Amino acid sequence: MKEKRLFHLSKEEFGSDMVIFGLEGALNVQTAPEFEEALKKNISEGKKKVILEMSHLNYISSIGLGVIIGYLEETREQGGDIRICGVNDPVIQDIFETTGFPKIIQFHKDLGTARLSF
Amino acid sequence: MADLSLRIGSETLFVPPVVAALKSYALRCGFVEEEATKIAVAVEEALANVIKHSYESRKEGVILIEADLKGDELCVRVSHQGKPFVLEGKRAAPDIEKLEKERKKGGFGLYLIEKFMDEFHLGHEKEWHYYLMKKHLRP
Repeated sequence: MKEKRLFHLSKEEFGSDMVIFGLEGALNVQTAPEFEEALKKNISEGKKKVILEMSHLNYISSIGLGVIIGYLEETREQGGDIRICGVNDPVIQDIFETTGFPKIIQFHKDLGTARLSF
Repeated sequence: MADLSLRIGSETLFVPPVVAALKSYALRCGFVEEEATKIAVAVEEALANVIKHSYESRKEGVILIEADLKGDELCVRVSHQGKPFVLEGKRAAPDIEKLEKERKKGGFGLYLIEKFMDEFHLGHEKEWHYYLMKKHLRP
């Protein structure tokens, strides 16, 4: 029987400087370290245009928000930026809105518009 | 005795199953999916705070989680014997631009508890400190 994973992170690269991380499942206190590790590795690889695709993310807690915040400033210091797209879970939308994330990160409806925004 | 009563060690490994149990309980009590998820988030934030700040990530700590439906009110109590948490100055909406500039990863947890639950108190009883969170069923 296939094991159901709590969190899955996929990575797709476009050109020399864009990377799309697809987040699936729950970004919580247990899974956030895996996400943070992947983002840190990406900084060292020099991919500056980062898209976090969240259409299959169904849960996020403050530790996930903290990972994104920490990574955002570091990416901008390297001359890059982050976009978030595909958020469709109402509670996740509420969490981003209530904590003020749209003030500091561009949100896009889908991957296409997020890619075009760079 | 509470309807739901769990005792875990102070490890993040145990947080997801506890959160899942609380969400199931909230759904069984009659909360809709979205509200049950908000309760789950609040409980995770309380547990994460206890593990990180009260037990300072020491795994030998004990955490008790109790949940009860009293009338139309769900009460969740997360108790621990670590350092008491000081709430003063932590309840304002996070200044996200400042957090970003300072690369601060924290500051959202208590705010989310307050936002997603109808009532939130910290207290202590005998040797236990606790987070008490309440949410009403809405017709």
